[in-house]
Amino acid sequence: MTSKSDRSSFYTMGVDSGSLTGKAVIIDGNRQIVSHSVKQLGFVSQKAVMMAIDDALEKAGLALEDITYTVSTGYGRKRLEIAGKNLTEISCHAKGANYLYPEVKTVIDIGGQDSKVIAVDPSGNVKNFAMNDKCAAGTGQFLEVLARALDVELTEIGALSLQSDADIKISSMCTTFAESEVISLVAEGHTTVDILSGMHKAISGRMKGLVGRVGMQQPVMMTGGGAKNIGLVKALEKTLGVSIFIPDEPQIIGALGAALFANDFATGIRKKVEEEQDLDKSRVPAKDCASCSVQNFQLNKN
Amino acid sequence: MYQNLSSDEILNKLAQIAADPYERAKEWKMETGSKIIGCYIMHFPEELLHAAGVLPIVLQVKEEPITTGHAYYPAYFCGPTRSIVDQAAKGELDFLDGFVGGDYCIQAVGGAEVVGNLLPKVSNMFFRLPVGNQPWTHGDIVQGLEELKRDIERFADKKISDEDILKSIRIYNKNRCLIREIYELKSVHPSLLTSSDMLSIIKSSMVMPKEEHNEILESLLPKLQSKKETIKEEGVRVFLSGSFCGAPKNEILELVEQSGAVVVGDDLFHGYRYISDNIAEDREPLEAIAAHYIDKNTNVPCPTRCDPKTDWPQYLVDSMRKYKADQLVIVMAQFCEPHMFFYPDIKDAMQEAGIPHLLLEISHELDSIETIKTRLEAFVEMAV
Ligand code: SF4
Repeated sequence: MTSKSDRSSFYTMGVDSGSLTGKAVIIDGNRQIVSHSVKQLGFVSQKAVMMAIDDALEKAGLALEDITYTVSTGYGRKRLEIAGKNLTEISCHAKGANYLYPEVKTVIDIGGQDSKVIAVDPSGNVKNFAMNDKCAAGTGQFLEVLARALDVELTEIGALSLQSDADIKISSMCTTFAESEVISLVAEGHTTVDILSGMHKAISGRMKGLVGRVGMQQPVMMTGGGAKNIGLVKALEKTLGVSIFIPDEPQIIGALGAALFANDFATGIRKKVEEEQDLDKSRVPAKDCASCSVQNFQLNKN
Repeated sequence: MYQNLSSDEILNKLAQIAADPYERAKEWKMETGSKIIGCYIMHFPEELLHAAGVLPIVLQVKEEPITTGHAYYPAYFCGPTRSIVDQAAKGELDFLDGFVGGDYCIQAVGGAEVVGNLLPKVSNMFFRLPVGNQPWTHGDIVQGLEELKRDIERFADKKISDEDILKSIRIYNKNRCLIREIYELKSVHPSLLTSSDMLSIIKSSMVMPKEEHNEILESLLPKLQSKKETIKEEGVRVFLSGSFCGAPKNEILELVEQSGAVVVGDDLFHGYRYISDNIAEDREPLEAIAAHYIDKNTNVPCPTRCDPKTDWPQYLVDSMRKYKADQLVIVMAQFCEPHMFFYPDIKDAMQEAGIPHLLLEISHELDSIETIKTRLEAFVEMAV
């Protein structure tokens, strides 16, 4: 790593406040990654996010004041006060993936709460996307629940599942029903490795549908925590009939994209949010009607 | 009474009426001692019912979760029908004197049947509205209108003259004209009114006496006219489509605007679809109403009308160009078969025309608002 004085004169940060983890990436003015951090604590944990920010700053030898501009993304993106702008994880994953692999055309992001398929253009813009919008099926949370039911560590399930050559079908993709299906399979005497392999196949089948909605184009990259599960990656490759590129740190791609957007804002490639109006306040005038959902929505947000 | 209020105050008033959609009708009943007929969404000759001296109201979807109604209508049917069945099952529609069902979609037919059974004290009528656009369709619709007229006359114990119908047509035409004027203003100055404001305008029109609504709109229009110059225009221009029978949820509309978009036009039932066309005032009234059902479908095609001469996907492509819209947001009630049936063609038409679109399939229980928010924001970010 270069010393602080060698680097370009300013830094920007991307923060991904995900549903299960907090991630932060700091890049320099030359758009080179200076440091990154991933912290896991619990659901949309602000503490994990702050820990990731502190950790990334410490690794870079920087203080918060050294950061010229910050962009936040992920579920908790609106709650990060230090961010000048917040953008969805869909735009950020596309941008981050394109930075690491400029030829990439399809990004599959399997995160804690949802999964997304993003079609990316050569400049890193989103061309189209699809997102699972009904439940936790095929997400990190789904795997976590089932790993618990099988009494194995989440980090082990990928490698374990690769040992199986059985063909177990898990038909339910509802987390609750799948859990009881897994318990039945255990009761029937199926091994843990075979059940894990069946689980990965089931998720891959589901993802194939999502990929189909966008239209898959190669090369394909996988991001998010799901990409760290080798069993899931292999199952997806088999189901989709393609090889999938996995970055070294798949969980930081959203934060990396956010840091790159922050660089765009800092350098004036994109308009800074201070120059725009606060959309939440300006576009929806509060009504003095106690029973109407306009008011309720605003109360809920606070 | 509305002249002294500001445009925001008038809009608040309409929002209140829309938020508690049956209250104004109940008050009217107390004031006049007359009867109220609930129309089971979506195509009803309100003018004909009005001509009998009753107040027709379009039954509204309530946002509360469906509970009692579960026992009468399955969860895999659309939210609008389930919600109205639920209201009937909970006794919330007992204030009605009459109820008119319709046959424009299989779920609506079933729902109307169930509601009819749940409201034994309420006069239960049916409007047969033949579909298609064949040489005989107009005559068939006239026949359906005559059957309904006969039932309404019996219900109201009043003969309905052509003059009565024409008088009602004039009042309803005026309402449509006034709302269309507001639409015109909004298409040029999209930020003048939020889409929730537009929803309040249409929804309140559906549930209160049209004469009173006209009066309110006549006060509102000049105020909007004078306000328009002060409005700063910004945002990605979005056209909203779909949402049959039930009003799109306010939360969804607000999310569209909070994502950085402005709504420049729509074809919602609780929107432009409701007021797109007037009924001719120079024809025999039932014939004019029948022609209106065919004509308004040419203006804003409705999949439930099965009209082979209209092309909804092409209408949407044309509307996008007409309103200079950047993106199309489709709001689909979950399990709405007529809408689902058309979506693949809409998707193809949009892809061919290079128009980005986002489909939001909305369940009545609105189970994933966060995901909808992310999808809407990401969609709008695509255009920035
Ligand atoms: S048109 Fe759609 S929303 Fe309306 S009743 Fe039929 S299925 Fe339900």
